[in-house]
Amino acid sequence: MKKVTLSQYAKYVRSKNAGPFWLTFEIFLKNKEDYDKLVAMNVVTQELISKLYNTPADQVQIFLCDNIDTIKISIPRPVIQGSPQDKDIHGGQQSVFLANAEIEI
Amino acid sequence: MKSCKIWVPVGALGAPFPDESITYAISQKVDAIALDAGSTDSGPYYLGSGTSTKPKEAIKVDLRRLMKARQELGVPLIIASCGTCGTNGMLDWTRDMCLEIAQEENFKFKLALIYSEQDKGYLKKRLREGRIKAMPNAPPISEEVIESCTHIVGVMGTEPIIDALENGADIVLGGRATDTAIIAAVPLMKGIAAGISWHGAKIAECGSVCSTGALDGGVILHLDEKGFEVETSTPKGICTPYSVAAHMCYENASPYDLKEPGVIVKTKNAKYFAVDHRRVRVEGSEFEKQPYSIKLEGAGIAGYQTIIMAGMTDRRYIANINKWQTQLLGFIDFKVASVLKLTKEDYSIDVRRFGLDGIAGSGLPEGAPLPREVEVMLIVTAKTQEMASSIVKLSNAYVLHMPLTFEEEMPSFAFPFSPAQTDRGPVYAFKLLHIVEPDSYKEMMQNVYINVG
Repeated sequence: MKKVTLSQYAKYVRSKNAGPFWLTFEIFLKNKEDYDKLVAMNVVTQELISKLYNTPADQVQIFLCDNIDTIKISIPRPVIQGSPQDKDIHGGQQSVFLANAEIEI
Repeated sequence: MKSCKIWVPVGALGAPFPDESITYAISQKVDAIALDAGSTDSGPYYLGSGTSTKPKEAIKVDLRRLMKARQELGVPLIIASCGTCGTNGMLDWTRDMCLEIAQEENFKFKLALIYSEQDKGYLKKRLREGRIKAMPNAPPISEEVIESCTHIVGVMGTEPIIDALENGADIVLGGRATDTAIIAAVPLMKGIAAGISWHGAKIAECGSVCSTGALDGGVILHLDEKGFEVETSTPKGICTPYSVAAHMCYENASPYDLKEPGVIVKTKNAKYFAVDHRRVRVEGSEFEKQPYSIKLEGAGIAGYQTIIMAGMTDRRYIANINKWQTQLLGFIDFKVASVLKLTKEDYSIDVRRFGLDGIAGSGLPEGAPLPREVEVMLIVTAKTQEMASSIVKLSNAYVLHMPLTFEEEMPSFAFPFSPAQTDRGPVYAFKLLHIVEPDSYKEMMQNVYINVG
């Protein structure tokens, strides 16, 4: 067993606005095997996202996209896009917390 | 067999696309050119102020190229979400460019304009009737919220666009529309199934973002009775089943369900397969009819801002930046209260520490090395511009010289500008995430026709 970050394990971890009130993330895996392994580990959970983004767990939506070996996550935007406290208007850098989350493989 | 071809030249009017894409689309004899010219993605400022992210020159250059291509093909050109935000003012801004080009090029055509800005009285009436509903995570709505917006637009579906085309429009310029409605209008008109038309439109709405080379420009959709095919409009560009399927994730909360006016597009059961090395076919797109509704977008002024920046390189200051910041804000608040007689109701101060956690906002991770330098930005948001400006002017000396302890030499941090402060003017906030249930879309969208030339 060793610890790696999701960005090391995955092909690409991305975030972006889904409209001004929602934020969406994708973890694109390198292949089917890595995808199946990550899904089986059950580490990308509502609780993890809730902790990383300080958002209620029951509002976290997780989609398993088998056809593209991708886990997709959507959450209410912690700060509404463009409000005075928003640090990232397009939401494109918010993936960093997810990308840096560690998993054991 | 019913079929049709739609060319989406680029993800947004004003973004670059190559000439070879025009040549290829003409050779493919496409049935329509369709694209959007706007988005909320650049934030609330553009809708709030009724302005465009792009300069007029950039829009006019590409509008001219597309109008020339349309003239050669003799097919409709459909552009909506004009001027980024789709307000009536920005639709007229785009209309004027279109009319100038028509005169300069000696073009003749029928122009349709679809206005989609909303009357506040109408919205308040619909609110009282319970026919405005919140979408998930919507902020609270009231008549006061509606009144506080500087602009509210309805996000049109395909209906007013199809109306315009059935009335013989050669060029359709629209206010705010869903990106997909602009592209789905012609396929739906030609009898292509709703699931296929909308799903194809979603895949094409960002141009070649659904290909392996996101910056190549556009795509051509070939739609028929069983599905659709997508290829890039630059002959060297490549769409793969992966690149196309992955695009369903882009800027969508759900990768499978796409909400559009009166319909939910279901793509969970869709199959993506390669036709050849650069073209992908999609079959199995489905849809469900929904009660007809139109989404609102509204923005209003949230305050006025002034900012000031100061850079620091002293490791002791960087290591103790939280203490330094608390001390700084304490002095500023005291001074603002005693000199300007303002309370915390009148203003707020947000601090960003670029190089340290200006984006993440949560301090350095444990064990991380200190950065070599940090740029501190104070963002003051106040009820008036004068207030924000005065608060920052009053803060200037503290930002420049705030020591960590009062027994040490007074430091001077690096101001990058003179004057040190920048007034940012009004800042806006999105205030609506709601749908209206109208009797007909005609309550919310108005079509106007001009015979040009």
